[in-house]
Amino acid sequence: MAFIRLFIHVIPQLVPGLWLTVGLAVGATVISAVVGLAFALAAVSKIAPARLAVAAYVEFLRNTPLLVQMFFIFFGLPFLGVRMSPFSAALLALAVQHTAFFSEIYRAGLQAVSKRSHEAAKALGLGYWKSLRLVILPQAIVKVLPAMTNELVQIVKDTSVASTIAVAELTLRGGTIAEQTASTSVAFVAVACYYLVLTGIVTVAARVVENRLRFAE
Amino acid sequence: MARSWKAKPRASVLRVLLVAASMLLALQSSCPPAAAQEQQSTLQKVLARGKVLVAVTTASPPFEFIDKEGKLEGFEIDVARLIAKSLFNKPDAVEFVRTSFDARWTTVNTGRADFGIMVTTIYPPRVLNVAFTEPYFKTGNGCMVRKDSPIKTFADINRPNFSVALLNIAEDHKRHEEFYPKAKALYFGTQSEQYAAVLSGQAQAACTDRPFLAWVVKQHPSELRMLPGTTAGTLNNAIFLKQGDFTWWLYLNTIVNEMRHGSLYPEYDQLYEKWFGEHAPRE
Amino acid sequence: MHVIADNWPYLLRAAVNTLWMAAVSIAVSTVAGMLFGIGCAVGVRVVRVVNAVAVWIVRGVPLLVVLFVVYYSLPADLSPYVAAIVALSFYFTFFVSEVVRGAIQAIPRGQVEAAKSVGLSFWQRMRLVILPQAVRAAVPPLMNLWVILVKGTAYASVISAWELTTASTEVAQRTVAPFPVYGFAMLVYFFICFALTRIGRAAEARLRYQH
Repeated sequence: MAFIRLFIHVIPQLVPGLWLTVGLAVGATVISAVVGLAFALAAVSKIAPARLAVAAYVEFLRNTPLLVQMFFIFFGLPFLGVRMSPFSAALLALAVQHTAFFSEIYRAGLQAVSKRSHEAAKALGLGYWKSLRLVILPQAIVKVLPAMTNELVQIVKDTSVASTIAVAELTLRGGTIAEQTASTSVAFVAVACYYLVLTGIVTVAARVVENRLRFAE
Repeated sequence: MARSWKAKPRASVLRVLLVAASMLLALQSSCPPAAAQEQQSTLQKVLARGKVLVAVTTASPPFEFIDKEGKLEGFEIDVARLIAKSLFNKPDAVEFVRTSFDARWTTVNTGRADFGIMVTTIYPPRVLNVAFTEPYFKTGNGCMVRKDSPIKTFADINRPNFSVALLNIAEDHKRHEEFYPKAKALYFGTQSEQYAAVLSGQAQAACTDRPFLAWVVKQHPSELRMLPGTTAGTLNNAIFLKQGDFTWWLYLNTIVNEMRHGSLYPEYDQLYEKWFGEHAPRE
Repeated sequence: MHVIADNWPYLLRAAVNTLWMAAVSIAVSTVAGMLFGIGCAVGVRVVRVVNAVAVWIVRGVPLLVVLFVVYYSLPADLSPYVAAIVALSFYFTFFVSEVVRGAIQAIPRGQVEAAKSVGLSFWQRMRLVILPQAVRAAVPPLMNLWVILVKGTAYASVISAWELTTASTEVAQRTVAPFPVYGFAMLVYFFICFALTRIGRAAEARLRYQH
């Protein structure tokens, strides 16, 4: 059948796009996981302006579409003198969005750690950073691992938006192939299959890590 | 009762997936490919319907673009209206189907539009997918840069620290490899995004149809300029339609011919002057 | 800022399209999602299988790609608006169904047993015991989904539906002022989503009061 033949032909042509998708996803995850933690610590701190700032940041990013944020960064920033490649602009947009979500996740985890742990750490004479690193954070993170897995999957899916600012990842490649083969049906179904496989791998890998960490508890 | 996602999909889920996949395949193969025989020519269908469906793009001034009031305007829009006038004696008997470059062949091949007029150039690989009439417009592929740019010729673009804004179509991919392989290519979905990229400095050059670039440069004479010449000589922009429908092709082709060299030349010339400020070439 | 002063009516007119596309999609996906969720929780085999497959798809494929598949790959001839509504409705139906299913299954077994022993029929149990509690539990996550749906209407711009993001791009390119234009667009989206969240919180409070 023509569909299957075309499908098999299209699959390897999408591979170059796969690397960019993975690159964007990994980069965005690393940045937002780290910066999000800093924001979350600010959000649970005693410093009121910090809490307010993070809350405003999270609210704004939650209620605006990623697509518009990407256009804003890609088309708008150059007018401020900031020159970035489409990849960097997409990475920045993804990182900014998901930092907000990660900070909410961490915040929930931190707030869920019982008072007793804080008191126990104090009783043991651990300072702020030590108690955070050895007692509070490990518990917080284990509590929110499922939510973090969800975020990771969401980041992989959000990389598709980068296609609108000329990043040649999976979705844009799908469009190129669609135009070449005059058969848009195959191209985008193939792209969907790639995402299914990618998110499937991420979910399974995260499950494995989750179980390992739980076991280590 | 809750299904754990750790569990392997049950046999019934696999069965559903198999059924759905085979249904999709059946649907695909039952979709008539471009060369299938139609009982009735599109010409009859259009006449019976009373209006013609035309595939257009929306971000390629002055051929088609959205003006300040949100209306679709442009040279090609006016040509489409001229065709509607020939069919029905009413220039408004036309409905514009906004189409992306990705999907233009599919749009006419599946009948979503009766024909397409959207800055589409005739290239041999495309003729395998779709039918073209005679060209209604001669164009060429050129490049535009910022006024203060060091780029003077096409060869100057071919440097690794330059980015070129191109359209996400097969021919631009080929041109990238042929003329400026060392430069980085940015593929956009519309021509407007190409010029926005150059204006904002994201790309050092934008390469696409010369008339589009000329119009853009006219809007921003202090910031942009065109590079002289074309990358590949003259190119032909033409109306495209579904393959295999000779009656419809003959009708459209005859109209285009009359516009370029015959009874419709005066009206075509008027449009040409309106949008390009000079007379239509008469060969 | 004169860019916004000149163009805000145009942008707000486009926002109207955003609103009705979102409204229709929210209505369809909420109703369909509830039906699927109830069907799954109750144990109807066909519903559970279809739901499982569809949830796997919408969890794994980006909304933008689903939209492309609906618009370009389906043999139907859909306008961009209809395609966007179909894609959004399909996508969110199965997130809603998971929320509803979870909410119903969270109701303690004891209540269902008690209702059964008091002699209530299936539909009476649903109407009087299960659904009121499930709906109350489901409102916060549902509201969250609705906000995500409103943000999702922005993707319709990529298939040339005319809504707020499309109009913003037109104006931004025409005026060569992407900053204020996209900034304004983000404010409009923020306003819509924030208002939706507030309405949802008020509804949630009202439901709790009815206890």
